[in-house]
Amino acid sequence: MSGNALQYAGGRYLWIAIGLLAASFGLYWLQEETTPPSGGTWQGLTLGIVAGLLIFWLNYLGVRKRRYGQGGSLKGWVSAHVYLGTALIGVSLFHSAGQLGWNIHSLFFWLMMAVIISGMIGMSVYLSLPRRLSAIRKTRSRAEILEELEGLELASLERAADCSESISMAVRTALEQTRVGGSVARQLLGRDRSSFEEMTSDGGIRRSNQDQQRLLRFLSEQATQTRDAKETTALRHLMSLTARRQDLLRRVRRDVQIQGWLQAWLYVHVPLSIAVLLALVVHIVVVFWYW
Amino acid sequence: MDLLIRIADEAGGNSDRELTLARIMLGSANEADLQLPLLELRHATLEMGREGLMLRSIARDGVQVNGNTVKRCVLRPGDLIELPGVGVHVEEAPGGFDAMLTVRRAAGHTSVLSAQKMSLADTFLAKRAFAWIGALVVVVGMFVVPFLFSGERAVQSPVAAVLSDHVWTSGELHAAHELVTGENCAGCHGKPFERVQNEACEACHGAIQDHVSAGFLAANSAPVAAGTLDFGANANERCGVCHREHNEPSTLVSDADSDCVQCHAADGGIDRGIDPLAAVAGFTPETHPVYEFSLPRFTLENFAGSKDDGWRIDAVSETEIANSPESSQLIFPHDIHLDVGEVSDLTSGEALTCGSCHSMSVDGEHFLPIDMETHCQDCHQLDFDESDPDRSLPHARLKEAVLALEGMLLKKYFDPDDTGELFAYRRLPDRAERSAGCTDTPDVCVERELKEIVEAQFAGDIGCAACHEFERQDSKDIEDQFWVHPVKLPQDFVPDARFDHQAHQVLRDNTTNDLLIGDQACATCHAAEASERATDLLMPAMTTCYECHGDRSSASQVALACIDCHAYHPRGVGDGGLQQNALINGAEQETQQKIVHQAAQLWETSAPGAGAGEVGGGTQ
Repeated sequence: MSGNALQYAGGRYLWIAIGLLAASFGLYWLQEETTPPSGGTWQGLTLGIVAGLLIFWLNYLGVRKRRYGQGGSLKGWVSAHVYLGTALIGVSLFHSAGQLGWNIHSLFFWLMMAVIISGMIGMSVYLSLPRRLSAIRKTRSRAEILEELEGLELASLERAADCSESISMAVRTALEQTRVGGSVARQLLGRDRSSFEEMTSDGGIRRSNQDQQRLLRFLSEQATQTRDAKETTALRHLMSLTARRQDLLRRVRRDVQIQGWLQAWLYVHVPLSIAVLLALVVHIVVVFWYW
Repeated sequence: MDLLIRIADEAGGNSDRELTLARIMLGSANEADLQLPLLELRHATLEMGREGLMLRSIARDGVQVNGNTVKRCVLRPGDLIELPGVGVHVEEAPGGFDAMLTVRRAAGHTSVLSAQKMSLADTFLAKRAFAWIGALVVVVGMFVVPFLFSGERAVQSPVAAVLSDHVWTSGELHAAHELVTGENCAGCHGKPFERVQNEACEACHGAIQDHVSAGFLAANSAPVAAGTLDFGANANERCGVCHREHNEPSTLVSDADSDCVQCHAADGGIDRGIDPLAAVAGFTPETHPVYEFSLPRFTLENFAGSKDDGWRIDAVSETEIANSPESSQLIFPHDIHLDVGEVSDLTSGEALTCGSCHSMSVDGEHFLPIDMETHCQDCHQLDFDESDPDRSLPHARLKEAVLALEGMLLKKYFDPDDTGELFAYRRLPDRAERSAGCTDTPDVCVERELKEIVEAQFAGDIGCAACHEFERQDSKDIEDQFWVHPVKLPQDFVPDARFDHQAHQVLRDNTTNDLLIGDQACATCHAAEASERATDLLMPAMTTCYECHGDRSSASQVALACIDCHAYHPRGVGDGGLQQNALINGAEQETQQKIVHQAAQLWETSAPGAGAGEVGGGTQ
């Protein structure tokens, strides 16, 4: 596997898409200049049939990608899907002669455009993000990182047991209140709502612990204040462990964010594709209903 | 040493790592080969010894193996190394490996992270549910609701603009249709999945004539049955073929030549042997036939007393213009009237222009009829009685004119108050001499002078004879001795075609590139300034048209479509149109008949008595 879907077979489907657009323009141009070109002329109807079949075929990718090893490589299919899907904008505009208004046919067009644009966004994140993803994970999977994090947590708890109650509480609550991911927005924006509780005379006070910064500061402050040699050693360990957790949490959070972006467009693309398929059927029924 | 390390997670999954190293370091340091967070930085090593897999503890406190703290030991399959946080099980080495270890997390701590949402799939987002919702919204919003409020039920919709079949429109309806139909789609779209039928159009546009009327088709049933004249369904297409609604911009009439040519071309649908019209494929000298125009012609033999007798209308090809005299029965030199040295405007003193006589009709195509009273009489006056200069001879009524003259003479010879002074006619300076010496009785004088005056009118190029063709007849009554030919000025030389005179009032000369306006524009097609006789037919040939025009395919400067000049729907009202002419049927199956008939029809309806009226004698 070398090159991405856009480069598949030397851009074969790019040329096919350009050819399709040129042929569509030719048909559009063939329409007599005597009345405004529209989807109702034989050329317009032909373009409509082509665009409709294209929509069905583009949707078929959803079926095809679940069936491995059928009819050519999946990469080839994706390449064709991307190029011909983009060309659909031109074919459908030539079909309708750019006539858009306040009606279901235009709504159908805008739904289709939403699908195509979401697909373009998806393609661009696929092209740009995975490289960053591997840089973040350093060849390790997220599960491995999480496992290491769990180990670090256990070690932190063990070390915290050697410390005073206030330190132990801070470390314990910091672990409990560490947040990665969460809602759609937090996943996609990579927001960190972690916190920990610092002991005060009248119980605990919750402090923001974004990026574990506050905990690190707390631990270093405690290290300068303590006289207990065992606690000093434990605090040094805790700081080291927290620093490693900080690094790993950053990576996981970024990983969640990038994975989110790699997935997010599909939540628009896939459901709207189905909606567009139905809108296509409605479009065809309606134009002939009131022929 | 080839070592397989299997890391087992709590969910039961495994991930394998293969290491090929002589010595494997376990620890929490970054450079450790098996990095485990709770270990010392460098905790222990593994290497393949002579006795098998050898574990050496680097940690000061040793390592727990099968419950015993050891510094070093040989590992066998089934052994368990207990490290902080994990248990490492020694397994039977699979083929190709020297040893295999399974690392399992020690129970006791579950990270809070394991319960957090780290994938969009864990959130409310769900492709399948969204797809169902989207599909439902599309079908309900785009089809079901508009269907429930379709047709006449649209008025029941709370918001018809979005919740009715109005959203099904494929483009704006023409404003006039929108107003009349009240946006009731079903008003025109009768049955679903059926194109709009002509009946829907005819509900309002019933007076529009079919291209070929039912009457014509019925009258020609014989040749249709014989398969020689296949007008059939093609003749009267669905209105929607040419009239397309819901287009943007709204364009209700298609002016595609192909719609016409598909029947009228040489290889079109109409049998060339029967079609009265020449084949046409476009608007170029090669593809368009020469035109024929309707020329009224007068023949004395046919005259039987009525004003329209003696006339027939010939269809004349444009190639015959030079040989086809116009026979309006007037004598009128255009050149003299346009020469300021000869004729000038009475008030301004300037030369006459084309517009002095030819006033354009409001249709921009035709010209208002020309008549004596409006256009000629300012110069060619008909006053005759010096004692009463406001009196004029009645024009076009010879008998009444003679009676008027007689009355004037009777008064002159019998009225004792009359001075006896003889008036001089402005244009008959010799009259006074001839009349002066009448010494006979008054009645004889009256009769003689009346005869002299009337005969003088027809004697040369003055008086009636100045403008009118006439015949001498044997009669004892002076008023019956001359018969003036009836005058007809053609109103429309090409009644089947439209020509926009208004649009042609400003032209550009193709060779000099000069702008031509006013009479210069007229003269581009009509050579009036050089015309000495009224018989000159001042119609241009179509080569003049081709100087600027062609069809769309000819890349001419100004492209013309068929319907720019020709009407698809025959003009006229009621049962008029193609079926009324004698086309093909009847005694004369000549191609001209159609044109002739249409010209005559138009004639009947235009200009009551004015331009086409008969013209009698005048005294001057």
